Amino acid sequence: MPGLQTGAGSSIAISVAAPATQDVAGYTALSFTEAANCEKIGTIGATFAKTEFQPLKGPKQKLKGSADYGSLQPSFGLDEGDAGQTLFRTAADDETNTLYSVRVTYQSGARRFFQSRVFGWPETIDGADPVLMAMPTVEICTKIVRAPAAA
Amino acid sequence: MSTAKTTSAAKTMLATRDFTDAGTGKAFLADKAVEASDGEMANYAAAGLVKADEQPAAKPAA
Repeated sequence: MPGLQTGAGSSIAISVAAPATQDVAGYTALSFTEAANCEKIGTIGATFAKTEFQPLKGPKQKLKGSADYGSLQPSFGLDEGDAGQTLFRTAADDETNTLYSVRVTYQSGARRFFQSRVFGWPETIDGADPVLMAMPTVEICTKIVRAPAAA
Repeated sequence: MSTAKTTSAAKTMLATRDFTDAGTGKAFLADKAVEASDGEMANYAAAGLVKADEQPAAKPAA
């Protein structure tokens, strides 16, 4: 039964393949490689520019402008032996505009799919004790496809 | 999801270094054969984690 959920158990995974169709069937046909030691995933969702018009008579009108599908900045405890993290780093190092497919899985099993470009793989050494972290910026370039948790 | 496995007809892929796959729980050792689905293998190859085994087949004993 749907209800509140926390982030525990959520995951992010990446695929070099592109979906044949921009829908659940297209994305679930792909093989994704999960990135290990993910601490945070970030905010998923499109926003729209607000276009306003104030006529001389009447209230201000507000229109939806261009869409921005958003971006994620997941944080990972750096693990150079992890295949998923390595593929995220490959996507970051890719100097072309190749799109990589990404799957985010929630605690409930619900999934979010999209194609993205990864803008960098900065690695942070923040003192003697904290774990080395990597925090790529994943720019979402397609509409987010939502797949509910399996019944 | 593709569940096709690499077959003997396909070129054997070797791990370029030790690595693990958090999603499948598999671990691979450098220079050892990697068995994975076609989709997984494509991801590993894109990440530079596997390479084709270029060793010629062993000659039959005389």
